[in-house]
Amino acid sequence: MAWAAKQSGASSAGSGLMHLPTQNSILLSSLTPRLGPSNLREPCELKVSDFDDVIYKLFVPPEAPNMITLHIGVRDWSNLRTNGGQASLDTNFPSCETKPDEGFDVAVVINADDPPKGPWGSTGEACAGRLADIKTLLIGSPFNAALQSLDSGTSSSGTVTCVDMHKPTSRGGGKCYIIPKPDRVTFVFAVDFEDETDRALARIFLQEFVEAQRSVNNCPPAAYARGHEPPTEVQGVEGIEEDGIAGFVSFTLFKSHVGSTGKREKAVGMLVNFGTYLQYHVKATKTYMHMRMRSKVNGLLQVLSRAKQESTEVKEKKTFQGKSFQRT
Amino acid sequence: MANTLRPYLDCVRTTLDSGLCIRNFPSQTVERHNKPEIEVKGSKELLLNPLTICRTSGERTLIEPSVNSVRVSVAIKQADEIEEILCHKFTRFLMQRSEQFIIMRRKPTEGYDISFLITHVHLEKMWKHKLVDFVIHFMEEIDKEISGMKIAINARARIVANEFMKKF
Repeated sequence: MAWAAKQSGASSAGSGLMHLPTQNSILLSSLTPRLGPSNLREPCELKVSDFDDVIYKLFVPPEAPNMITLHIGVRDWSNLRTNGGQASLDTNFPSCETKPDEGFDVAVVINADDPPKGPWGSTGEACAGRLADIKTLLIGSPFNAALQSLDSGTSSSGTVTCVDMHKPTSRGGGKCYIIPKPDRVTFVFAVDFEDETDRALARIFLQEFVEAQRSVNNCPPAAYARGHEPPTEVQGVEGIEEDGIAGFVSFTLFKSHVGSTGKREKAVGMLVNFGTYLQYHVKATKTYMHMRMRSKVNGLLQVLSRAKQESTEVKEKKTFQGKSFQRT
Repeated sequence: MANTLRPYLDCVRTTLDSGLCIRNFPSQTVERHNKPEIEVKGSKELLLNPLTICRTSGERTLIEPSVNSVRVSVAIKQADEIEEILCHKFTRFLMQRSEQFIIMRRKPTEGYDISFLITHVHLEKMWKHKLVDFVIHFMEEIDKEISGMKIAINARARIVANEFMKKF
């Protein structure tokens, strides 16, 4: 039950505001009562957006409230499908695939009375958890495929796979390149932001990933390269921008990082969420900066108000008896 | 205050103190108008010698006195890209609130990051020595704040990266 362990880890209070859970909590909260022990049978139609430009539509028809259909719109699905997306869909939700609605790319239909049995277990709750995490499953499928073949020893220096992670800026970025080698897999993230401030902050953050590997034991080696000089692994790959994205950061995973299914799933989740994680913390930093500036402005205003002369007008004063008089 | 900063700020203080010797001076050309002469620059004899006080090429103060107003422009030191951005953000944030700051200009003068315009009206309402104190305090604080923010961002980035790496 590696899956259940991961699920509880993501939602535990210990993680605080540091990590974002990989599951979509709206989906989870509407799927759990339907698939879990409470056996809710209620029609619903729900449209939800998620990070990385993923959209969901959860549809339960009133005439068959046990049939739950989840439509998913995901960027670059045709590429993901051929790079392990179809395979992971087949293993996780065998014979559940159905025709997606207009504007969506994938759809799975689940019978709540008889939830499918997958590698995560057989309970309905576990199925709900997996469905809520379908973004990681779909986008992470090329990551998973590469790590799986690394673990089984079948990895070879093959072609570079490019995963279009999220909305690219006008100058590219937002992509991940997967470079398999016999003994390791390197993931190169091209990171960019629309805003110049965000870009500068992202550069600081990316550099710190390289620093972090010194202080953390057994973490994958990381490398940072500036935007106009892509790392050697991806040089010559089509679509590498020549000038000025925020930067490239690469993580190299060895066999020891993917030793078990749980470890592998965790690594895939981390890698898929990397872009979102970075963006989240860049935005949080900006919020913090604004809070600081606000309080500083208040402090400065106080100093300035000290310079003001007290009004020299003659104030009206009152005696104890209530008579008023003016002090001259 | 760092010891190297003190002579610079002391110099600004003395110059401001002597520059802030202004009086009510209605416009010579338009009746019933009273404009800061340093801004309109209508007549040469009403302007005094401007003075630039430099600590480094990036860190300098320009004090332009005139008969009824003094303009103080400050260039803040920007060592690298992130300091530039922080400085730009912070000064923009301040200048959007220039109404509250009374003596602050909405736009800095060319080549500087932030400007103040002190007119005779301000000096009639405020204590001169405390106004000078404010300008000096402001220059001190803005340097401190920018380096503080930079350190905070770096510390934050380190924690974020460490936490991510720990999860593998």
